[in-house]
Amino acid sequence: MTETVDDGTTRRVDEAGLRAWLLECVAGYVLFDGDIQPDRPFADYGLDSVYALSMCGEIEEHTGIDIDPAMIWDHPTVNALTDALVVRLKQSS
Amino acid sequence: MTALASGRPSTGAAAANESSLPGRVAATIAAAKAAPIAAASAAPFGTGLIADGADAPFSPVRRATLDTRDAFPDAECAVLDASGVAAAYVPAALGGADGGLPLLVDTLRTVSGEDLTVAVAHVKTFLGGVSVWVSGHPDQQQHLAKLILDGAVVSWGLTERERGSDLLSGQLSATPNPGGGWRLDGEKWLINNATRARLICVLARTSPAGGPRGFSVFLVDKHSLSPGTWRCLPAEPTHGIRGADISGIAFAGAEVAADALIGPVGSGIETVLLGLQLTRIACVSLSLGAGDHALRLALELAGHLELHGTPQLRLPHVRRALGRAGASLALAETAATMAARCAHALPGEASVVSSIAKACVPILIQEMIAELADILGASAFRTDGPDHGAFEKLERDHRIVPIFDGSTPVCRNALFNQFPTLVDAHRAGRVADAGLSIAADPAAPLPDLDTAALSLVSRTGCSVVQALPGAVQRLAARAGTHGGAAARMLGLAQRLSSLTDEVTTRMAGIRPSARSVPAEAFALARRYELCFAGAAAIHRWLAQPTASTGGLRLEAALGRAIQLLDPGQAEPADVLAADLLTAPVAAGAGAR
Amino acid sequence: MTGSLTGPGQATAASPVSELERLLGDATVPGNAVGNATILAADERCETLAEGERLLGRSGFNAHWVPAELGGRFHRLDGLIEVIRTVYRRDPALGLGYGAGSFIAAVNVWAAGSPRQRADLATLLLRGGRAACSYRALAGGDGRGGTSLVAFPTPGGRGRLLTGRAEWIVNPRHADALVLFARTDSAPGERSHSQLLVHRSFLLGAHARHLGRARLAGMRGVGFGGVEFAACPIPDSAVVGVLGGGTETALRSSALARIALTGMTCGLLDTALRTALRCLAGRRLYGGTAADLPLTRTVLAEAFADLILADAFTVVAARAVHTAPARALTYAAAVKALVPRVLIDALDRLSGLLGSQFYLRTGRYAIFQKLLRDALSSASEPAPRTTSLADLLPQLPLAARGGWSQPDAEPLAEQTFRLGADLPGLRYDALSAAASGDDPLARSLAADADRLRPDSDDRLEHAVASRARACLQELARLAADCSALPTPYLAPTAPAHVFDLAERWTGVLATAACLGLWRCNGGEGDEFIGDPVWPLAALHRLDAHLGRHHDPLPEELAARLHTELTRREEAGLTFDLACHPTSA
Repeated sequence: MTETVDDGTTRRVDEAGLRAWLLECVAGYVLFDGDIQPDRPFADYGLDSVYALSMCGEIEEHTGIDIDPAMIWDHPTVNALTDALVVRLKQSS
Repeated sequence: MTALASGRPSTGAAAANESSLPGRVAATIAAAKAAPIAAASAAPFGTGLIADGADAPFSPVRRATLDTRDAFPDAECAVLDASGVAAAYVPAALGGADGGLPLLVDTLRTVSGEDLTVAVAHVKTFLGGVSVWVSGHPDQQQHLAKLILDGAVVSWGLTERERGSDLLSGQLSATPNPGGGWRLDGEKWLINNATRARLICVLARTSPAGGPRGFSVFLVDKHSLSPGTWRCLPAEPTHGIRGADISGIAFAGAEVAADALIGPVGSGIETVLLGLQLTRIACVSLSLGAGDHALRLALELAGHLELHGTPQLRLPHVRRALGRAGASLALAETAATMAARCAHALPGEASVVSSIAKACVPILIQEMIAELADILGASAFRTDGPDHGAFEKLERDHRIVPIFDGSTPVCRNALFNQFPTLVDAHRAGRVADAGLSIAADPAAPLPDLDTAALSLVSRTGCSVVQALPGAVQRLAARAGTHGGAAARMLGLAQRLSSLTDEVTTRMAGIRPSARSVPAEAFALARRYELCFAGAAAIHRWLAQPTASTGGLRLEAALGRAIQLLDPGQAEPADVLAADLLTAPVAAGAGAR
Repeated sequence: MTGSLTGPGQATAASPVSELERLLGDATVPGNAVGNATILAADERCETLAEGERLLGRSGFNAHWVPAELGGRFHRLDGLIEVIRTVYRRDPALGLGYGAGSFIAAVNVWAAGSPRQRADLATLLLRGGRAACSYRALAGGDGRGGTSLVAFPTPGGRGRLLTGRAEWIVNPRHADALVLFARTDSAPGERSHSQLLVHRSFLLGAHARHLGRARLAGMRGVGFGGVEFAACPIPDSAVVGVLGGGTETALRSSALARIALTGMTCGLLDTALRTALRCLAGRRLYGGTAADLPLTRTVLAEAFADLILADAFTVVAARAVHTAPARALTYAAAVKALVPRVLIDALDRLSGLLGSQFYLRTGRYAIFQKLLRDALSSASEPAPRTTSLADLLPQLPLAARGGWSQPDAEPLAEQTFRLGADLPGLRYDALSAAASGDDPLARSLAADADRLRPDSDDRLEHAVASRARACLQELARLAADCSALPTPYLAPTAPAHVFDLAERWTGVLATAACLGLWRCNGGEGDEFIGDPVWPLAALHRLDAHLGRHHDPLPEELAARLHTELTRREEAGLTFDLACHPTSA
């Protein structure tokens, strides 16, 4: 579960935790010796477009929000996706 | 004619009466068969027109001749145009027929039951239009709807030479012009109706780097192109559907206006993937018609055969094979009908349901055709037998269905990608109840197709399968009060439920993978498909009024699903199938 | 050259197969007059490959179906299969139309003809002439179907008048001699039919006319025709052998024909598999080639295993014709019931891999769709496959009470399994139609179970040994299930489950064939034939074909087979057990 704190006015999001979780999630989907770099496109790790969509379910379950699957295409690195998810999480209430 | 081979399309209330589109189409075809072609006409794509007054459209002799000559069935397509089939290609809200995908499936089943080549040639317009229904602006949609309803042929250009089904490797490019509009360069190849069609929806690379946001869809009207900037590529002779126009188109600096772009720049892959959810479901109707036709032909041809002096049709082992074939067809149609209704009632699950339907139904029918050929021996493959070669033509024609627009391996791979969601949702028993009850009940009014609710992945997994435990409980209650058929269904449903649990357990054990998808994953996808099809039969059975006559067909379908999942349990399913073979066809809507 | 094989992978430069391969050249080269391009063009036109016929005629190909003792090269049935299979690897229609067609006709005369008839036919064939018979005469256990000929004595008592139709004749217009099956006595019973050897000259008169061509979706280069006779005078000397011996002769020759034709068709799958491999290796997909994907490798390996299964069963049946002639009809029916479907199923799954590439009639891989059509058109030729199963039904209770239940019953002579080893001469008179309880092939399983590599610590070899034991147990269960079958259950009107019993029998026989071959060949060096991977894979596929599972080949077996497959493709070797050099 993502670590959010709701104090009634703003929603703080644990960005670092989310980034770390995403790195693990991607690593689980690819067969790659070594560390996943957060600024390299998913495609570099063989996570091609259609297959990348498979992560959508896990991301939704982990963050608790619905996302447009194509968000993964629009933000195709761990860093970019983390940033976009943080924005969505802060917007959700 | 028994319930096995009544071969009429299955809809809900509309059924096969004349006021429904399938009924009108069937009647128009029947009328055309009775009226020979009057004279040679100069049809625009009439290279193959057989100017022989003795042969009527859809006649067996003409069908065989067209096939031998790789000639386009223009008279047949004209008959379909006259019957109003195109109304099924256009959403009701844009002036098309009411009834959505289920109506399209039933209508096309009627056509493909006569001739697959004709069906493939005609339904392409639905594929051509679907990108606009998914992503077009209202004015683009209205414009195209009017063209289609007026008889325009629209093609869909996705694939290229040497690139197969890998859409992201496409090289046909669209470069924006400084003054507006786009310039197209490149080719699309092995495209149905690329030459015949006036309009073609093409997937073009709009970003040199490509990727899932690097492509866009353009609706190209040949009438708007300057001469010399485009040409059609030669037709490719094919193993089956020989008369179909399988050709291509090449653009060299072809200019299209800004409003040729469908959806935002970069939305092409998404549009195509969502569109494929609809076309994959629609196209299984080709298999259903082929199955209907194959069974009719097999019964006819086997009627001429003897083995050591005994007519084939009286031999128990032949009857068993025929029963199994009929049960396969019943299973295929149950899966197809459910899938088509799910697209309307559970649009968010269409990504899963369309992969299941497109992988499962064509293979069921392909295997059924092979089993029938096994019974018939050489007469199956004669081109000059009493059927005028209809069976062997059908056998070749049908082979394209499991191959095109989402081949069986591609669809199973897509399903595999969603295994984790399917497993989780199954374990959690997640069911979209309202949507499923509408999908399961053919009499329930169907909401309009909401393309905006389509999704690249299914958040809720697959309700049809996930609702299986609940369905078993309802059956148990009914068996308690009604006994009889309900008790039989209960036994079968319990077996299916336990097989489904096994499948999902094994699915949980395979790790996701981008490239190295193990062979076992494809085998599991096949099993999950059969669980879907069997579950569809159960839900449908529960939804029908208790006094309905369609129950036997659904029971046989369910039995067949279990037989295909668990080969050691042949006999119960064979008994059901045998009953299907001998039960008389019910009046009215047919035994569904 | 006597036409004998020298064992797997050991074809010498001068063996008949290598001679033919050299003559036929590289199939993929555009300029080859008998290459794929020309074969496809002839198929499009529904014409025989004329250049192919000329080539084979010039090379003295006919000698392969003339017995050695009559001056030809026909010595062993497996040798014949291997030679004609070479042609099936290029164009099955040419193989049937030119080669096999003459063989299945001539074998009636070799089996039952008088010394004069045999010598005359040998001379005719060795000079390049051709023979033909009604193909449909293979149908059913009575060998009778498809002809409605009668040949009763003339009123004057000298000679006979031939009336009626003979259909499904392979290339009757090119035949110099026709072998026809006709009723020669109006009384009912087994002695009322005879084979007739009718020379071409008889077809030229007013009393005979050729019927139109029968057309199939495949084998389009074969002119299937027929002849209609109207009181055509023929001499008494046209009767082959003894008057009234026609049914017996037809049964004997049908046993040889069924095994031979099925065995030759394995060559078709060989080329289809080669074509698929090449196509997939060349297709780039998702950054690699299609051939790199696990599914691709598995399906290719499964097709390879299917081919080996088909080859193993037919080659053992062909060799058993020599060592256990009394069982030839039974084993022929079993082969014909099982193998064609194995081949077609493999082709179907390969076509699924190839996708749209399979569907094109032009292009580099277009030969595939032709081979598929050829296979479909010949698999059930001319009767449904279940006819062969029906032939096995009457044998079930006898075998159950006989050979299956007698541990001391004779197994097949070991030399049957040793590929390339010499065999006793073919004794036509010993090819019996009588049902008996013997089943030496099934009994060979006992030797497999006892003696399979006892010293080995190879896990796979032990797996093979357990397969043998499991199959013996299946045989015992089958015996229990079959021993009390009532007589009505032995006819084609039997309940469907009785046909399943016959199918289980074909599974036991095919298993025995695979295990026997593995046990008796190889064992030294690292030849493929000695590798336990192939029998394990073949038996896994056998279970799939018998409807016992829908599972993919286990990864370990698939990987090793795929490696061997690509090795052979790169080296230009066939995929059957013989592993010959080929340029198909």
